[in-house]
Amino acid sequence: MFTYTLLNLIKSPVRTFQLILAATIVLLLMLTAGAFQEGMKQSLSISGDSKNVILLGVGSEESMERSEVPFSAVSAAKTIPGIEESLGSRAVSPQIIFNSVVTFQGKDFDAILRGITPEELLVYPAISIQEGRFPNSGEILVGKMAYQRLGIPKENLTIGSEINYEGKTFTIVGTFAAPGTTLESEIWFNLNDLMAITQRDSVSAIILRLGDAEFDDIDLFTKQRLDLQLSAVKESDYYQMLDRFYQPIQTMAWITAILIAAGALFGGLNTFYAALMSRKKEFATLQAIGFSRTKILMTIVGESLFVHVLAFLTAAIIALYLFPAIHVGFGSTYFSLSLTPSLILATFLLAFAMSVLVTCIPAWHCLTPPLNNLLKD
Amino acid sequence: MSKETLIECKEVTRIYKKGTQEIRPLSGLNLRIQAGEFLALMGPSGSGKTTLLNIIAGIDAPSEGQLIFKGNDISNLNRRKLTQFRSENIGYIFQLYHLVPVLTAYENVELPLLTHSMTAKQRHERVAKALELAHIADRADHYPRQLSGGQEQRVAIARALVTDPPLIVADEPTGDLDKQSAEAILILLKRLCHELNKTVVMVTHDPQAAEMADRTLHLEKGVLNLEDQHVAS
Repeated sequence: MFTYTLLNLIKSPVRTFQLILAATIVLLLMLTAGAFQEGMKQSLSISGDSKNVILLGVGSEESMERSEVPFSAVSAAKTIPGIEESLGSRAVSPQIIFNSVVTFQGKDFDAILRGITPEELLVYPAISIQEGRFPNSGEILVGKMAYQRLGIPKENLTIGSEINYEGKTFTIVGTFAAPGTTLESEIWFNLNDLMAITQRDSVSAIILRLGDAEFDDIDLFTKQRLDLQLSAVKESDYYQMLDRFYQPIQTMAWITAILIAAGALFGGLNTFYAALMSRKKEFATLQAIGFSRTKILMTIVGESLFVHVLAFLTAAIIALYLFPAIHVGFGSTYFSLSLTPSLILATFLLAFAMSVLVTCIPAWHCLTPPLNNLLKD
Repeated sequence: MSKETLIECKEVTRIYKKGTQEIRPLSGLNLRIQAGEFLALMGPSGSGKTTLLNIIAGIDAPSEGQLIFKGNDISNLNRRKLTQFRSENIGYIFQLYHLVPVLTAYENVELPLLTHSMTAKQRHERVAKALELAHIADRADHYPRQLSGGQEQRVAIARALVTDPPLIVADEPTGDLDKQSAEAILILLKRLCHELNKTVVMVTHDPQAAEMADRTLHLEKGVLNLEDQHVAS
């Protein structure tokens, strides 16, 4: 019966191709939507370090970009007991972060800019400078994925290259890695440079790394120093909040994928229906010569399963090759489409469910009527 | 020829309901068919001959009455048991052959054996023998589209024979064939009866085809109204 199943698919290559194509589109769309969600979730969850606390301006707890913290809060934050310390420096990192347009080789690019101090490396121990050194005034450090965010070849964004921002030229003096986080797509400036250019006397946020202190100690500090108008947020909570903030986008991605997939699914269903109905008499003959309906149904499902497994493999191979190269950015969030084993398994199960679903209606019409009617039709 | 009764129809009635209307293609029909007999069923369209053939073949079931096959009442078997009954006892020959287009003649003939538990070697022996009996062994590797109507019907006959069933039913087996091919098919069917002791029940519109049978039953409006006995040739 396996040969019979296989031959039926080979007999009509165009129809088989149409079926595989329709199923591949459905599965690829589902993989894309799932990988989009996974990528965003992973990026945001890795970005939030449980030992870090962010000090933001009161009322701007949901957005670091919109927050304003007086610069005087930096020295005040350094006095909080229990903050992690290394070689005499306290892990208190003031920073400015915003989206803006930079000019590179005469072209404008949208980029995430962050003004930092050397303490940034104390609050993010996972960050390492891969090449070059920390920037001084007039210099910048670029994340190892920044070239993707800018949409330029990797080899163009190397040490010694120059980027213009607000009429000033900055030289790249190093690249940094921050595995799995959204930071890797950023361009880091010397904090003073960015404050001067933007004429700010405040920073966006101060990030603290806890040593012996608890979050409650930092929270108490913000409540005691009402003059600074600060609010403390655990960094992990901040990125979870961002995840919730982007929830509507994730939902929209799913809705769009499901709508397009539904179209493809109905296309496939229609093709399968027509293909099976054209063999109604063949199935009736098989019944007449002694095949049970169950056995014939298994053959039909077998054909469908074969088509859907091929479609799954095609979709999975396309996804494995393409997804790592697809990057998505929203505001300060930047991530790649991420394929996880559970997503691949879920897609395989979907393929299996589809293979059964598309055969249900035609199989019902081909196998349930009285046999004498089927032979007469 | 054995005179053992293979099939007995007792007051067989078939009623179909079409909305509020009742259609009775068969009404209180009584009939005995001997093992090894070649029986032709004739009658105008709508006389109930195909309905009778389908009931005898276990494709349809009587609404009333009994169908006794080898002494067992098969009138009330469920669909699964009827399928098993067909697989073991019936070889069906269709007017339009109904071969599976993607399979070769050999594979088409092998199909019914896939419902039986036997080894590949046993299947091969059976298929080869059936193709030989139907005089179509030289076309074993051909696909239905590569065969003439007569050759396709020979493959269909081989398919009906391959499980070695006691009963072969044929629904207008020569209806789509030219005269020469039709005659060859009828001779083949007759040989199956006389040489292999198969019982053949054939529906036909063609009086010349019916002449080849041992007996012809004429149906009209669901009842038997005439019976011709032919001299065996």
